[in-house]
Amino acid sequence: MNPPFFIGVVDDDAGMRRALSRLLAGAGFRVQCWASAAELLTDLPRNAPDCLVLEINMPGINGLDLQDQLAADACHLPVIFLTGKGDIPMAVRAIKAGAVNFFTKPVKDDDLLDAIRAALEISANTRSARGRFAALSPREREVFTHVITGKINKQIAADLGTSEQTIKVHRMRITEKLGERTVAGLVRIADLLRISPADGD
Amino acid sequence: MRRFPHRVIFWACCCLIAAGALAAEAGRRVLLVHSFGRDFAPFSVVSVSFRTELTRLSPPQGILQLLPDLRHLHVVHGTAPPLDRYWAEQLRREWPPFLDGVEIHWLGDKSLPDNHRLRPSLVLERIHPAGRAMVREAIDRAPLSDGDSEVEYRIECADGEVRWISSRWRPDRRNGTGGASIRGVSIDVTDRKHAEAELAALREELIHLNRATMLGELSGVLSHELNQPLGAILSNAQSGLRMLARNEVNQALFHEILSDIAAEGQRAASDIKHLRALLQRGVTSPQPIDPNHCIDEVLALLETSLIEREVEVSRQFALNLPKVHADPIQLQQVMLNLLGNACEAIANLPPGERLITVRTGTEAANVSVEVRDNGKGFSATLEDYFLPFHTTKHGGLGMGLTICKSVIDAHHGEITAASPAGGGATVRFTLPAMTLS
Repeated sequence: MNPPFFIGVVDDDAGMRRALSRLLAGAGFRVQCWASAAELLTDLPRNAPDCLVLEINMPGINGLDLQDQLAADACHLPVIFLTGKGDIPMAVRAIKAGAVNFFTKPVKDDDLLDAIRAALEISANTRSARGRFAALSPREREVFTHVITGKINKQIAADLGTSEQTIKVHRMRITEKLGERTVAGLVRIADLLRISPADGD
Repeated sequence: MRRFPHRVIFWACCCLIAAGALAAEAGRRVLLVHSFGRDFAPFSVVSVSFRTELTRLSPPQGILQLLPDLRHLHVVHGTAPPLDRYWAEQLRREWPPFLDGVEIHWLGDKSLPDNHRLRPSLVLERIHPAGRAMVREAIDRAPLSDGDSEVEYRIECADGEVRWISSRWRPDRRNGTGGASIRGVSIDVTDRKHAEAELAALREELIHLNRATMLGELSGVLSHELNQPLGAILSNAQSGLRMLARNEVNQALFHEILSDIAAEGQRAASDIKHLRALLQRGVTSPQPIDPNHCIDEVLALLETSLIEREVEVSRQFALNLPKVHADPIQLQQVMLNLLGNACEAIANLPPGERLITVRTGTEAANVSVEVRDNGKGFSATLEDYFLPFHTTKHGGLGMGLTICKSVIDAHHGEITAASPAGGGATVRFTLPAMTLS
């Protein structure tokens, strides 16, 4: 049996932390709670959860800033917001920064658990994509950023100043290593790994 | 100090009150002037005092100032009705510039609706029962002091209308004669009383409006305060239900869940109670209050808002602070206003530098509370900030500090604003400390 998924909760409210621990533990997850963003950040390097559930209004670093900071540290944990008070600008900012979902308290257990499962799936896909992507050579990564713009080999070859044949070989290796035959599949991977397409001209 | 002859002063005060009753009956805008008392070497003394003023052709200091809308003047000498009439006629002759258009009456004047007899028991009977004891006490106290006395009481008129009368007097020793008298006025102050009541109602309305506005601003915060326990309650209940559905009932865990639900329920209920108390209109009930505790409660209410605004609050509370006698809700409202202002004053500073210091202490027989921010301080004349509609904020009504001042004034305290040397703004108020008994 696989070890249970690890869910991290950051909330300054002790009652809420206890309630969420019970709910998530009851649903079969391993849970750890932190009372502030700072506590999580110190703990994170050696104790990273698979998914984070964050309150927004907290003393010190608030939930949205924590999300930014994690992204800046290249820590792409899937994040779900569960806040006592949320408005549309907060939700837009959270989702734009890649949050899986945005709930206000009180939340229905099924909604939260569904969001967590979705987040874990994203997390698993990301991990596997990252593993496969790591196998690409630097040149292949460069070609990858051009492929995901939707350009044909001839255009890419012109952009990179090489022959169409060379690009064709690179593209074949890339699709083999990443296990995705279609451009749509490659774009999905780029999206998961937050790789931006090369600048077209 | 030698006491005044009790009987004389008592009688004189009764005359004055009777004059008040007369004032109520006749004309409604009336007051009554002058020297009462009968034990002095009868009337020459009084006449001298009248005459001095009359020959100077200036009205007795401080009396005519009270009479901007004088319509009727009653003269009650207190010795004998014919003298009242005599002095009434004297006055009409001697004071024309001041008494132009004023009807002058005297006690026993047949043109008056009722002939008032000056018997203390009858006089006191005219006074509204609610104020009778108070007036009686003031009259009894009168011979014991040579300071000013003032009573306000209601007189029920023959037609059933109730009028407010204010009587003020000062005992006057007759040197060498062993006699005494009082000088005083009775004024119908019904209009002022009505205006005061109206003003009090308006003030109450305004305070309530200010509270409602602040609560509007706080509503987001309060929804957070309520969503927090509700969130915990729901998640706890749902974990319990899930345990039941899986048929694994752990009694200890169930106990924990239910205790948490109960505690969170109570927390939500107390939040709502707090909110309701703040929204409640009117009925003020001053009580002994620990200012530190009151401020803590307000800070707890504002906690989420302060976190959102990234404001740091430093509490510098004096230990063993005496209590104050105050209306807790109004005092909290003052604190909400002051803290709200402070937050706005520092909103433009970078996060991490926004600091509010709340300091409590004692100062002579007062408790002082100071709210200081590190914003850019006050710019205009400091007194202006307490004027209605003075605002430096966009969308501000400019009533916050006005309301604070009105609340603190009503509690016999003082409120001042300053821009201290170290920068920022300080608003500080004092309230009389309750003595430990």
